[in-house]
Amino acid sequence: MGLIYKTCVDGSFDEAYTCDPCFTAENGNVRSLVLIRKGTAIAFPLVKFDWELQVGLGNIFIMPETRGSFDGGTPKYITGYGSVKEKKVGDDYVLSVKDPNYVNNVAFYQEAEKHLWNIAYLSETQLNYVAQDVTITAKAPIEEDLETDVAWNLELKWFSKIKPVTAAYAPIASLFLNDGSGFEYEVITGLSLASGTVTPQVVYLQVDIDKDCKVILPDNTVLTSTSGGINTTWNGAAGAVTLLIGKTAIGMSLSDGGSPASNFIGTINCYGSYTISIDSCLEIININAINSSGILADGASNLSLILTKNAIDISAAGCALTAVSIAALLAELVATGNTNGTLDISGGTNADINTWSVQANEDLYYLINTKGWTITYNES
Amino acid sequence: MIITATHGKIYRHDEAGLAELQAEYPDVYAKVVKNKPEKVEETPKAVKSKKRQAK
Repeated sequence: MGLIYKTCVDGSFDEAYTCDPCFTAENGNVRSLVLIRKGTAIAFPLVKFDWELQVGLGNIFIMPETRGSFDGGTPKYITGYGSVKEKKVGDDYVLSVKDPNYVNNVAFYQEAEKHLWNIAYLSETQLNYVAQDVTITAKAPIEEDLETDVAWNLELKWFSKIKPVTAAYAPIASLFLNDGSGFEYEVITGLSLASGTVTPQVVYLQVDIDKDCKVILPDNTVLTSTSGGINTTWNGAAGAVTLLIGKTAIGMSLSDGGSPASNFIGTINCYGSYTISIDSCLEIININAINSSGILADGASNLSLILTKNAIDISAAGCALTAVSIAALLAELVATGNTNGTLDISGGTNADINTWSVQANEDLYYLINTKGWTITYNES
Repeated sequence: MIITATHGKIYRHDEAGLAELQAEYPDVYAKVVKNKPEKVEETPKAVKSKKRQAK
């Protein structure tokens, strides 16, 4: 057995140094913070649509206006070998950020502390991305001073052999506006498609003809609408789908009056104010559309839950709403207080009024007698 | 049986109830029978459910 010498490349150095006589200094302050769920891929250069999608899927959380500092890293050494006394193995990094959105975020930060994150943070023009495991601790101290703000003091820590990746954030700058106006799409989650290998699955989505929508299929193919519509079939394996609705759309439909009707399965989770039509979509089980202005679900025979509060025209004839879900829906409508609405929960296997709770009956009468609603229901 | 409750009253979706609804609130009638082609041919007397009379 002889002695084998391998080639060591540690001594190579082929990175160029950039010397720009016209440079503009990058100004400081951690102006925005982004928490990224581990495993969420971030592509460079930055792609706005990718970021919109991941925000919509709940994989990226943007705190658009923060204040803070980055320590740049503290070198971590181990004892060296041979004539080398010590060797640098990486850096311990600390990012300190203040998030002024104190109210309503206790539960968020409580949960966030339990997870490991990837993060990004903004300086003047650069996004700094950390793909390592980052821990977060959040505190909200209150000063003995009437004029101080109570803010979340965040400390984010990680160890890394490499420095944060930097890139100009201009391509996604609009996503950091604090009113959300930079987002172009509303993301609808909770849906899937069955395998289309034997029986092709209908993929139908229509919004206003002058608006835009997209469907992301189980194989991550992105379909884009023509004249506001997508009408095709899925022939691949089963999996999750995501719908994207142009934010200015007034309505979206998964069905063209029942034919064709999408074969999407599961729950519609959305926050937009557009109307939702799913008539005769037989595999939709739940609608969680708290801000929708109207819902048409006639003939969606497996629909067992509608959660909405702002809709004033809800038609779910021929569905499968349970007594519990009807009670929840009526409670939301009462709490919102909209007047002169219409609710149809008749036919199908929608729960008979005789199975409703006392509170649901009281809510029914309240809506009819005090708020001018018209409600159609089953009674045995 | 399907019931429509509106304007403080209860209307059954039988001939009598729908006719009453159509006579009293034609706009509501048009909406609640939107997918139900049956027509009410006569004008029956009013039907009110004591059990479900709106408060």
